[in-house]
Amino acid sequence: MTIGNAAFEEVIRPIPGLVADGNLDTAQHHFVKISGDYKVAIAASDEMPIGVLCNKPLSGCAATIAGVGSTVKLVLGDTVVAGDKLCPDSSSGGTAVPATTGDSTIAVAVIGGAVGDTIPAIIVGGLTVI
Amino acid sequence: MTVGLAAFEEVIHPIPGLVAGGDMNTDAYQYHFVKISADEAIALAGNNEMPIGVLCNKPLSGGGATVAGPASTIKLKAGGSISAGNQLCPKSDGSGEAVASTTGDPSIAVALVGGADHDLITAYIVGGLTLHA
Repeated sequence: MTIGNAAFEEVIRPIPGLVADGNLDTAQHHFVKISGDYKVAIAASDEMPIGVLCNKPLSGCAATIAGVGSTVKLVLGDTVVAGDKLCPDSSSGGTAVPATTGDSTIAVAVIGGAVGDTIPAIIVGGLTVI
Repeated sequence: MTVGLAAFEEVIHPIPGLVAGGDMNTDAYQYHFVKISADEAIALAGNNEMPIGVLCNKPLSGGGATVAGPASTIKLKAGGSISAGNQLCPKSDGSGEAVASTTGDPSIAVALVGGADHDLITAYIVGGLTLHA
């Protein structure tokens, strides 16, 4: 994957000390939420993501979560164009879809893509109380 | 305090150049939400006031204030019962303590762990400022 003239390289600003709430070994590059004390799980529609999962942890293992200021890979759940604000999809899979008014969005797409693509996205923060 | 697999360690991304808008050298200020109250000055954030971050030290009036901004993982004083995953905003009494947000509240942080009133919890500052049409 390339961005501009340079090869894409993730910049991960991790949130320390979080563990997987269940097996998340198939959820790499998906939105996650806080699901319990210091635990993360896949974020569903209308749930505020805390960041993006960057590794493949089994239940109880350390989860590498990219937080605000990170540029990460993110799996798409719908067609996205560059510049779209992104939120979790409605199928509870943690994939990224374009946000609409009132959605809980924390990231912006750097490039466009289709369902199933992995694109670079910037986690800019946010918190829309819904 | 432990966080997940590792000992808890604050990760503070400070907002530079801020000073205390009054004496803030007690536990009633440290680890509380603060707002911009005047040019480069901070004070406790109150009801429906947008916090700029969380005060991490105990400055005297005019002294340098260490304010944790976005992407910080910090301690935060709870102003009520909080559950892990709650979005957090300042309490309505002006104490700067954190409470669970409801629709329309100026929320900038997410609780990484639950706690009771007056507990010091761990929170992550995600940011904020959502302007709707």
